[in-house]
Amino acid sequence: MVRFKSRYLLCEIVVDDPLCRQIISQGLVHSTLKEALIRAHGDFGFACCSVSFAVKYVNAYTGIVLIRCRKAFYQLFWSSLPFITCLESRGQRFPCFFNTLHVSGTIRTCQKYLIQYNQKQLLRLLQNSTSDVERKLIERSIRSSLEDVDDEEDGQRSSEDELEHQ
Amino acid sequence: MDWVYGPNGILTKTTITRCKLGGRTGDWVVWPFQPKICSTTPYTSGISCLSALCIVQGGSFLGIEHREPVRNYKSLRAMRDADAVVSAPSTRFVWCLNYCFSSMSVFADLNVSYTSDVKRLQSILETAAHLGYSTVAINHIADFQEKKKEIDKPVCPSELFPSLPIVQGKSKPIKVVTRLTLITSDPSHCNVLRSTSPRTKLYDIVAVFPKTEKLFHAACTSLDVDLICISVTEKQPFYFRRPPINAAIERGIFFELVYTPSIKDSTMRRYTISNALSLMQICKGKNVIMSSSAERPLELRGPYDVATLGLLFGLSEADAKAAVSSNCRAALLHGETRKTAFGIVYTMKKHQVTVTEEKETVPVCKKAKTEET
Repeated sequence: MVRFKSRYLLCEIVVDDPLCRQIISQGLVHSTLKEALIRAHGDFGFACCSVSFAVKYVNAYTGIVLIRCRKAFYQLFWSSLPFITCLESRGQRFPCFFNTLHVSGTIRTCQKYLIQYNQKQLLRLLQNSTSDVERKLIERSIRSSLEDVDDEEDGQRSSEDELEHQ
Repeated sequence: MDWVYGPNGILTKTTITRCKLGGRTGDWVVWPFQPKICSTTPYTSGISCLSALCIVQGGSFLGIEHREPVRNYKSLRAMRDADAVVSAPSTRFVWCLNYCFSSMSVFADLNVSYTSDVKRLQSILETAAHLGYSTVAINHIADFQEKKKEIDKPVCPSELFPSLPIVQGKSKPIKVVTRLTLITSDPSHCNVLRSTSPRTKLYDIVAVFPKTEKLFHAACTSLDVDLICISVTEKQPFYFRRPPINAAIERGIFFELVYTPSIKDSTMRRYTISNALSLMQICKGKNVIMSSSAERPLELRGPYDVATLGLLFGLSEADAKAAVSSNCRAALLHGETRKTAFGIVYTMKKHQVTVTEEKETVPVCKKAKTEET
């Protein structure tokens, strides 16, 4: 059996306008990426990358996107990502950019990384929070995230320890 | 602290004992002669460890990795303890080992446009920290054609921003340095660099943007600069030739490619890529850095994305990564030598070391000593 190898790119959509989060959807991200690819590499580049190209996961709240691409052409695809400057939907343009967080061969490692990353973001939010109510909410979500992880993996221990220190 | 020079410009023994490389008084050490790679020196163990890690070739600073093999792990550890800057009047070279070790592969963006709008600058810095850049240089442009003869004073980052944002994935706040870019279209513009101008000295990095071939040649071979900007918004007005570029690489000067115009506009993208490729043909990916010249936070890109962008500019994967990390650091260190007194001596207090680190390091020094004897 031959396995078709692919690469998974975990990206974050960085926006300055919070309204933009409403319009992020799988279809929109797919079309934006396609457009950027065609602009950067033309028909050939698009044809190369479109073989197993798919947007696997979109989280509109955190702006996280997971993209699958054939391994042989993932650099071609990746190099078109910096040229994305805005998301466009129904005549509205929202400036944004894609920031690659992680690249891996399986979707599983991407998920692991994402969990870790999000935990770190929570900690950061906790540090920056000002009001007491906010603080409590964040603390609660951190606790719940740790409970989930506890059953699953040992590898998350380190971040847990960090928490306890705080 | 004052420094004494012995014969041949070598630091005398007294000086070395005073600075006590192994003894951790924690000052920078100046070592103004061509260091040799040797296993033992008559002085202290600290020095021998340092000499084993010589990173200087042909009078220019090259950086720590790749060029000279690090002999062993122990010498690396010893190096981390001893912060050292080495510079010499004629050949300019640096050992800045503290930087070398502690920031082995951190990312830097050496070009963020200065605006008087502090809020915007702040948001750019925040975005840069979020993306994982550890060092950001705020760029002041001096264009002499616009009848602005005076060079602005650089902003003091600590005054502008009371609290700097923490870098993503690290626990340190982002480091902000200042940079000056001179746009030169006439040889007379370079006088600012030749004379010991007090204003240029205030900047951490000095870059030059030569508009003509003659000036490009001068910038590569004789001018006292750290970076040479490559035009990205128009077709390269002259061909790159091998001798000046080789001379620049020899002197440790870096070529800068800016990527923001290529993101904004399709024509600019064509110019950027074609100019970059014609540069790569000559310099083979060596001594190239990539930076943003961002005016808005959304014009920045993540360091890994920039490295992939480098593939389009004709860099290899390793060179592309070096272009956003180690090459930037080397350029920064090259600029650091300018601040020395007449290019010779520079002393600086070492930062406070935590107790745990202290415990770790003392045995290493001892070990190194016993090995030599």
